[in-house]
Amino acid sequence: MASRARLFKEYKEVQRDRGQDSDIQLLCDETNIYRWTALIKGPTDTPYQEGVFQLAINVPEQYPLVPPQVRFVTKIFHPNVHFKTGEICLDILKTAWSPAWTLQSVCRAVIALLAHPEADSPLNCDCGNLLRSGDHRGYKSMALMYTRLAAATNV
Amino acid sequence: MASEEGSRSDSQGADTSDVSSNRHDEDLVVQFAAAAQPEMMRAAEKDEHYVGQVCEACYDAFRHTFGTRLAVAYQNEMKLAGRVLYYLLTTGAGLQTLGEEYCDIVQVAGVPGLPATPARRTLLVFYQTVLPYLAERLSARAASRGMYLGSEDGEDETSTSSQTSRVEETFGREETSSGSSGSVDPGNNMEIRQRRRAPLTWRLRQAWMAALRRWPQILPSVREGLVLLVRTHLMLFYFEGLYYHMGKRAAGIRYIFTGRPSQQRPRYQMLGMFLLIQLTFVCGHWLTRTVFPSIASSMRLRETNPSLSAVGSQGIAVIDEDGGKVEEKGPSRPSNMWAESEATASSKCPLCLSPRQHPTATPCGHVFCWNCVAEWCNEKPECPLCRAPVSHPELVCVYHADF
Ligand SMILES: [Zn+2]
Ligand SMILES: [Zn+2]
Repeated sequence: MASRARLFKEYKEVQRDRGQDSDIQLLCDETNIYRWTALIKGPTDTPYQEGVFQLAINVPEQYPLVPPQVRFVTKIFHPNVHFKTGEICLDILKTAWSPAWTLQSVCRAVIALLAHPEADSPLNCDCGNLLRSGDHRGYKSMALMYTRLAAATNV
Repeated sequence: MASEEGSRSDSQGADTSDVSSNRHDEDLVVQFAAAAQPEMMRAAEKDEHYVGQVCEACYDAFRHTFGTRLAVAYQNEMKLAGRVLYYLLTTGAGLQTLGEEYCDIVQVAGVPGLPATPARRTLLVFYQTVLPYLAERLSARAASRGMYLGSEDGEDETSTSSQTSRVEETFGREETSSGSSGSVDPGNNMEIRQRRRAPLTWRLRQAWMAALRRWPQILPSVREGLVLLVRTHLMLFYFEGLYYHMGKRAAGIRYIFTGRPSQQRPRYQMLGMFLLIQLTFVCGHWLTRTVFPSIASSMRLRETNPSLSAVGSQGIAVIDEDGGKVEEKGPSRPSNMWAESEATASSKCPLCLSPRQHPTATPCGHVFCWNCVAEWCNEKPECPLCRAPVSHPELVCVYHADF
């Protein structure tokens, strides 16, 4: 299956469904269909809820046989996101990838990850330790602070 | 330029005195050599680095003031702002850029070797910043507009159920608009009315539309041409070593070297030679394609589809595909394209998001294209939807099912 044809399809679907899913905004690079940017809203009832987070998506040529590379551009304090590089530890982006995922559904999975941090496979050790030691208040205040610092929507 | 001295050398010396004061102390009548390629390239690289930093700063400032959403929407404009800022403050103000300063080279204009006039410098800044941005912007807009028109054409095509290929159709359209009055699509009443009202503006509009419609198709060849142009320019640079940027060539601004001429500076004729060889080959190939039109036409038929989908101009390729889809289902279903795609949503393959080709079922009952699921099973022997184990021999091509 040609990655380009499939990405065209996804692009068309994104264009058609624009505005339906206000939590996710997918933008394709005007000159390169293998580069996308996503803006996701932090899920409600989490310390991320006031933030809008930017994801950079790099789609490999073999897509959808291999997963797209997704990373946070916006700084975020989350156990499964590397604080410096923005790398995301999410099984469907690695071993559990299936070609039935689309860029849109990957973004939805990332939002779900924000709502359900997995402290046992941390990329951000400080954050993971906070959660594992049961200091949920500490985790929440740190996450909230970084959300306000880096991802606040002052629009 | 090394031959003549006299009047210009003192003016040059006066100009560069602030830049290289140590040289100035030694003797007032200085004859500077033209800058060599390595210095120019290093300076350009340094400048790019600093421009990147300025752009990033602009982007950050914008993001903090207006929020991430707007910042992402305007990131190209931020890049432009950074570039303009950097070059206005350096070249525009008559100073060396940081890269030029690092490499001890100074901009001079034309053959007499005088410092560049403000007008020339402004022109250079314009060439280096605004022009590429504008071109990219216009092209992108034309491409998306053309795509939109293209999709309208696609709908036209299905409604009149004409079986002509898209390429032919667009060429035909172009002829009708560029030729005299021509014939208009019988179904398009509105266009006829408009034409009666204002024939000239309508015709201009039509020509513009035709150009727009064709833009996504000719975009690849324009890009190719640009790449060739850039290569040619680079080749010239390797040979003569005067202008590294096309903007500088256009503005007639070159460099002199004001540093200590100590070591033997390398030249890049060899690279120029290689580029020349490559360009000759490309041109030869192009000539054989265009000089023998019979070969060209037969080749183009084969080439249009892959080349279109290879560019990244979305519209035509998709429409082509959909047009193909309609033809394949037969002209017995001449309904609206969107309605049809909605109706057949259930028979879409979840892997390629297109109508299924050779529907193939897994033991768990999920259906995909044969190619899609077979390829995935080579990668990982499980169902893409429910992860049930699937081995290659278990895949069944369901030829006789009715869906
Ligand atoms: Zn398929
Ligand atoms: Zn299944």
